[in-house]
Amino acid sequence: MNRQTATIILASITILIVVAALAPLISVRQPRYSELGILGPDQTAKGYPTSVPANQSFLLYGFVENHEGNVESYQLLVKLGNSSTVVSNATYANAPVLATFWQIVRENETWIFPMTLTLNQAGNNTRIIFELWSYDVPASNFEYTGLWDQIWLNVTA
Amino acid sequence: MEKRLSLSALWRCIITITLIVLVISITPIRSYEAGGGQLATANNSVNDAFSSVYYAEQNGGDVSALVEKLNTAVSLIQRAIAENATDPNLATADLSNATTIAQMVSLNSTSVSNNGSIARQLRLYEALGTVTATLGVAALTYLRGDRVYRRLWLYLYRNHVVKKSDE
Repeated sequence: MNRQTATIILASITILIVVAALAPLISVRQPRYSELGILGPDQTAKGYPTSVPANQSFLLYGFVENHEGNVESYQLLVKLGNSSTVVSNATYANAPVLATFWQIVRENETWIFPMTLTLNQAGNNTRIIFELWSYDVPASNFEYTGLWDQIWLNVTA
Repeated sequence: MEKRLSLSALWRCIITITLIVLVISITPIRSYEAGGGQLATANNSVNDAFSSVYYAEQNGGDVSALVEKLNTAVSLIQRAIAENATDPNLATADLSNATTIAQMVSLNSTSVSNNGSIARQLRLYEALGTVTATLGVAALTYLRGDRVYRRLWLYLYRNHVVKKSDE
């Protein structure tokens, strides 16, 4: 082995060790997001109720995942809307809140929880809106994440 | 004179009764407000504790245990809201417990945050130490490697007898 080869090997080993030592200190910026899903009574994305009797409870499951890069305090608001209720990624629904579910979720953790809901008033095209809110630490209040979901129901008398 | 006195006593009596009725009628409203106030206190305590946990995590602290405790406080608040209509006393107790847990989490998050900062600094020093040592060893090897290698070879093969190949 000549001196030049030895120098190249030495330099390569040195660079490898230096990179390995510094790698944990370099933070990789990954896309940050939350996930919201509504699951049926068997905790899958099927079997959603389409018709429920008034004043009788029915079961759904909420699914929230945190990939925001830090711990999050989530609130899922269940609202009672109708076909004219406006809701979008930028605007939350101006509708009465049926129920609130709250949990602190760590980074890369999933929060699956049962939601037993009851509707008191019979009617067609009743819209259940699910909105995800998260606590904004600098602002010191819950803010709408822009994530929402809905199911349409006929509520029978 | 006696008639005036008895009239004055009658007025006093009416005013006293009115005041008692007023106090009694206000009392339930006050207790309702206390319940609402307790809920707000518990909510604020959890939100404040969450902020502390958030910053503790930002400083590199392990907040798993704190998050678990905080979720217990959140569950107590949600249970209290559900219980409020049927058992207000139990709801009040749950809100009180939730507030206590949240305050404990806030207190503990300070030490978790400090530990995280120290651990992060240690990791930085470890990495810088490793880099410095590696560069030092590499430089020495480059400058003195040949000499050390030859000396080591001679030391290892000092008893080796070199023979000619045709012997």
